[in-house]
Amino acid sequence: MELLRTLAKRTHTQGVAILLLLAFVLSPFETHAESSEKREYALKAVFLYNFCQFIDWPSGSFAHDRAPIIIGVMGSNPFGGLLSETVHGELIRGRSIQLSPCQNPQDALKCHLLFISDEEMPKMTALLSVLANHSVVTVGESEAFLEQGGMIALPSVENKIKLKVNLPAVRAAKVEMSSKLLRVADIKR
Amino acid sequence: MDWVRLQLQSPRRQRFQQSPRLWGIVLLTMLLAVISSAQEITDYRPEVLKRLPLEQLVDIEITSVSRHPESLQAAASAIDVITADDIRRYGAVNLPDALRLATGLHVAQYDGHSWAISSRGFNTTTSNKMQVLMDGRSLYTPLYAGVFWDVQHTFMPDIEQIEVIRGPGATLWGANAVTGVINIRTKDAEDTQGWLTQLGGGEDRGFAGLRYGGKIGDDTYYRIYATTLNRDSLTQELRGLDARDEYGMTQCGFKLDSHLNAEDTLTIQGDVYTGRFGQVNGDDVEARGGNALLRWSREISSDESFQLQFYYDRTQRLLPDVLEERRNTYDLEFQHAFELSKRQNIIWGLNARASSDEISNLGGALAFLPEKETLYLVSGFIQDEISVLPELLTVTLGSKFEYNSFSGFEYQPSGRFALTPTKNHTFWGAVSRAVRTPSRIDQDIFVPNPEFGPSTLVGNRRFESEVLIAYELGYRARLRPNLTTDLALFYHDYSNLRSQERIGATATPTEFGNGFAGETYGAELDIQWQPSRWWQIGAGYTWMQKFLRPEAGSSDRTGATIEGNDPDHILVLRSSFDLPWDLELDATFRYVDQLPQPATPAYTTLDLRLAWLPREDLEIAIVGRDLLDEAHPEYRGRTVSREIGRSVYLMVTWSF
Repeated sequence: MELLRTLAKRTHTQGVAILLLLAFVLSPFETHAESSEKREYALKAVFLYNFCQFIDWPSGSFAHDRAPIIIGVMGSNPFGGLLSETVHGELIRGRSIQLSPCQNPQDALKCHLLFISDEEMPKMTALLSVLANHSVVTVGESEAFLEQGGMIALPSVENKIKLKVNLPAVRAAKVEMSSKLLRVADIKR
Repeated sequence: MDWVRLQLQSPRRQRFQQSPRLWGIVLLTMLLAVISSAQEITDYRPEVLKRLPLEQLVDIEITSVSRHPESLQAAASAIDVITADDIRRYGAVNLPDALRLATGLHVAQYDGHSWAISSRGFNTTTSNKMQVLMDGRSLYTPLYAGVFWDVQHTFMPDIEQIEVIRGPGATLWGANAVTGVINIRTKDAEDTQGWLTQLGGGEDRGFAGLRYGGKIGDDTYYRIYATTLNRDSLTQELRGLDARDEYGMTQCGFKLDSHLNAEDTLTIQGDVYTGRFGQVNGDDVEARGGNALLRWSREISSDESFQLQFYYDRTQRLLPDVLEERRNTYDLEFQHAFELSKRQNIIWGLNARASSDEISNLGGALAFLPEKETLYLVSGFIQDEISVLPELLTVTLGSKFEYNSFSGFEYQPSGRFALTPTKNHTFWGAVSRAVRTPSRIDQDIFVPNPEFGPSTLVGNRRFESEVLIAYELGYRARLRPNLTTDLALFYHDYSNLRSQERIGATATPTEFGNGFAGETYGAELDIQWQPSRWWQIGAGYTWMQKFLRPEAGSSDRTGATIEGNDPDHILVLRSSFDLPWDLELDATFRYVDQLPQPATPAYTTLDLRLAWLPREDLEIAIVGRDLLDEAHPEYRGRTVSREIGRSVYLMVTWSF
């Protein structure tokens, strides 16, 4: 092993200097990284899809047995095509999933799940007063969303998407959340 | 306390053998074959993400290896992460139990409260080549450079994850990170809000813990906890007598995280504990200690951060009629990570530590002389992660430079590369140098105590650091969204290993010297497969060979038997079912090959857990351990061996 050891020593001294130099020379080229925002919303779209599976709405919130689950997106749509790609062709307990863009709070009434990006937070007060006593599950992006009365938040913390649930608000909406979902979530009581 | 018996091993020589050098060629051929069949899929496509269970969506992140977050898939070293969910689904009640889940770690219980834990060999109850940390605090003691596992505890549900890095991590983690690093991290106080209790027990054990997490104002979260763990004594092998090794440990502590503003976080945490551990002969060992840590971290931007940390750690241990040790450790650490250019991420840091002890020698068996000593340590490290070919080749170069008052100046460089031809395939390799610096036991132990008679083993202040040059190669692949494999190959070349050298022409007295050299090599394979949303299977296999020999001029007659007792093979298989009716069924099968010296037979065993989770805040589990036989030893002693018997316990976890 003497040979390897000598080699290793050489790498550690001269080799280090050469590689460092090489790295500096190469530096001007731009790194082409995949947009982390795109990844973030790809993940959030899948969370929304999962919520459809792990939440039970009261039967009254559907017109009939085959009526679709409707996911609303408030205002500008940060998902691009990712959300429709995610839910396309999926059946949950015999129901398909439909997307519905919402411009004003009244539009949200027909939804089962409503995504409100941080950008749309100023509409929260108006939204909540319209949605009170309706079984519409609100999903936002920050801790502040929960504090304003939102039900589920998907904040990104240290490069991960966390799942936080405001349990009193969920219960007030008379929907059932599966314990599988709650177990992964950080619950605010 | 196996090290008390260090000098008693039989002077038998080990076989000397040369090792093959074909690793590189074999691996390269293999890797090329795999590359050509690699699939081009991106992890973030909806149809891929959709198939993952919720637990995985809230994804694992890793900070240890490069100290800035990096996905496990692309890391250029051998890592396994034990998540909070793994710990929960194993029903682990203490840290050594949880560590059994890590691929590549050999965990062997020696008696009711001592464990031998090491990766890549050199495992004894006083293993001295692992760096172990909990929340940034080093757990190994400069007394023997190992970890007193009996006093390492915390409230198990509050553990975020345990990262186990096999092989040297010395460039970042410093001396002692030779065969591996275990980094235990507890959750942020923000994630442990409210009350949670976990308690249970069975015929042979009882445990209880309670935690409360609260919030002060808008941005400060805290938790306090208390936990206690008691275990009955084991049985002596063959004789069937009570081993009198009861284990009792009680600990409480707190953690407070204050987000001062968007950039700054202040963390204050601390623990105090007391433990009592029975022995076959003599009175109980008594241990007490506490620690307090203060950390200020600042995220200047997404590419730049620094942190400043100070901790104080006090330990006290009474081994009746042998010694009493009191130790105070003060540690100050600074780290700064930033983006030098689009292609280069630098991380550097400084560390100063003083560890001051006072040892009262209480009996004739042995003595540490001088009775008081302080180890000073000053170190700095710098590491540059260079994106040589963006998205394809990353090279990481760095070194730690350290001065310590026992062995002087040490350098520990490493060079690593990660090649990622697609997002789902990573090839990595590394060459690193790591040292195990002298501890009190290496340089200051006298056996027996010279006040009681002439010592056959005397102190040696010229004892030098043990040196490792490690060569590693690895391949990690996500072959399908639900199937990952992780293979690591290593060749570790050691010199200056501890030996027992004659001082004169006669057999005694002897002293610890640096007369051994040798190598270990092996492979570690980890496979995780999720056939469906409700079923997860894992397999971890470890193979290792170790060859040590005296270097020219060495007069050692022990054959290095005190430098580890390692199995050639370890196999751990896990299966986790999510059943209907809110039930979970987990099975863990373990096979550990025989140990050479003291000879311990191979064993296979099965651990089961059946849990009922009727509500999201309640879990009732029944756990069976070591179910396949009546009892077996995991690590025999030189005179007395203990058997680990079949056991069953109930475990209730309730948050409110």
